[in-house]
Amino acid sequence: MNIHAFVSVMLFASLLFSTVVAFPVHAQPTTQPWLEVVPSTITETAPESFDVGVYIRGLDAEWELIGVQFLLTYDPTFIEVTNVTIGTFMGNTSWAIHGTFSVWRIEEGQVVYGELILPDATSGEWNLPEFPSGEGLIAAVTFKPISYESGASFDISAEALLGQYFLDANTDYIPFADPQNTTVTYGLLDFTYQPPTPFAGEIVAFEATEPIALIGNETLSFNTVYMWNFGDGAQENTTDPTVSHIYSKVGTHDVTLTYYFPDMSLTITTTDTITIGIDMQIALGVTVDVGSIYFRGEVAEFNVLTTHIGKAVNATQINAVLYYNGTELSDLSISVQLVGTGLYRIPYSIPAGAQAGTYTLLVEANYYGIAGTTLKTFLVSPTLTTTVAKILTIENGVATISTDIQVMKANITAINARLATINGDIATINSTLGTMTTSLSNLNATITSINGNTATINTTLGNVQTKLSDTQTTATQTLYVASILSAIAVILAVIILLILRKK
Amino acid sequence: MSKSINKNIISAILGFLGAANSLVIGFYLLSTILSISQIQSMTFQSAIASIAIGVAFTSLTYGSFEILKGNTKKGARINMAGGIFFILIYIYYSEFSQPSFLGWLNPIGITLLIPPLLSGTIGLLKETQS
Repeated sequence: MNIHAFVSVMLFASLLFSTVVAFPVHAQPTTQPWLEVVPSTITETAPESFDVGVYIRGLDAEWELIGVQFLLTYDPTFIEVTNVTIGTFMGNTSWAIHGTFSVWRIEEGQVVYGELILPDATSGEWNLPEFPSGEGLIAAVTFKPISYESGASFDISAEALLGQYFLDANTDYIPFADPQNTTVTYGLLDFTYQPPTPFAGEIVAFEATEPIALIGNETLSFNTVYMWNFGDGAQENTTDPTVSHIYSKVGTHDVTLTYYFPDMSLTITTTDTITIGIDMQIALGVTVDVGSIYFRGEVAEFNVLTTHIGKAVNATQINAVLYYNGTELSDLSISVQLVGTGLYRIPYSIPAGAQAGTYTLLVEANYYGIAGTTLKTFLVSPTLTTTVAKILTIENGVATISTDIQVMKANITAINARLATINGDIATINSTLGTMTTSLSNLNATITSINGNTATINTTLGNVQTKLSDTQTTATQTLYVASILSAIAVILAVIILLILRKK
Repeated sequence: MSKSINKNIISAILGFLGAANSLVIGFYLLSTILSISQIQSMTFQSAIASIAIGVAFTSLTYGSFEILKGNTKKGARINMAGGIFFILIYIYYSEFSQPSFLGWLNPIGITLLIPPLLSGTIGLLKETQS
């Protein structure tokens, strides 16, 4: 026996058991009752469930209704029933003086429901003070969302059970009007962005459509996490449907929005493309740092930063040319090295024979058709005569020199560095830049020979002889004196021994 | 004053002179090591020099006192051994150490080595004759 027959049999078994006398024939009212499926008002922002009420409408007491049955159908792909509650209409004490009998059964995709007003237990007759009339709630069914599909819809319908809805006190079926069902429609999952043709460096505002389910006139919202992938390597997760992003790269990017519904452990992804253009009205910013002063043989480093709308961008082309005295000295374009986004370095070794004076570095950059140009000047000084120069380290032939102006690097061969003197562990070095000092440890100093109070020291910058100390001078002199005294003493001793031997 | 006593005095004086010479060389070695230690590490050389000079000075001084006290044979042997050790020290710091500390003193520096050797020789010859 299927469920439909089960409920009908239950209702009619109850009916036949209690009915012994047929109700008198009566005139039929002009209006026919019907069932209406109505969602309850959803007040919570993100409810875990929602209710649907099945109401009876347009019932005339003349119908002498004593039983209601229906089949509530829905799409089990999207929702599931968690509870069924008996309504207040059939149990109204104005007519259900002997109580009611209700039965329901939940199956996948449908709820079978039946309810009967009980007759007098002794006579088995529905000698009720009045029969049901008007409208009211037959039953409430609680649903829980289990899935979401963009743009999908389905009906929650109150269908007739074995072709009938209502039963009167004569065990006849009551004619009915068509039920009024409700439709569940899921909102489209998509997103938009503004402006429609954004530029690199411009703020792009993305807005996702919020996932909702329209149940009749009621709106059901969902707990949602919006997981954005902007297509340029950047990602962001939010619970707010709006988010902004700035693209630095020109071109087309695939933007992916993944809706994550934590209550349903469900993800839905939607993708769109965005084309990032460039604002030709705003010039490319080119900032150059060349330092202030360099010396012959020094390894200079120039830095260039390219920006567009305040954001560092990699130039599509960059040229750097060094000028001196109104003429082009060297094209440094080939030496330009990218350090970070929009940041470049240009190493340049000042020639040992470079002319002293003011040099100009001109940098031209291009960014997708937008040009930017700037120039900076620096000074090449012949010597360090006005500075206190100290070599901090020497690595691979390049000395790092600290002066009272700056820290710089210079090739020791280019500046013709040579060891002048050593005092203690401090070496003095002469070069084309001037005189500098450094620790002997920087020169790999080794003592090759010692002659009295003078030591010969070998370094990476050559050999030098140095006087050790005053104490050493005294020790050397003492050594000479002792040698002479010893020689005299030995001679005297030999003479005395010879004299003693003759005696 | 007997001939024997005179020889003992000469031997002892030469022994003391050898001890003094070891001090002079020690002074030079240590001052040199101290001066160049800022340029390159000389910890090992410093330790070797201190110990060697200390041994040479002590042995020559002790041997010379023994000769003065009349223990000529014992004193002469100690001075001979001290003198030979002193020569080894000189040869090491003259020819083998890096850098060479005493190479520049040759050949005059050899005169510093003769007194202790002569002291031991005189004492040993005296014992043989007696």
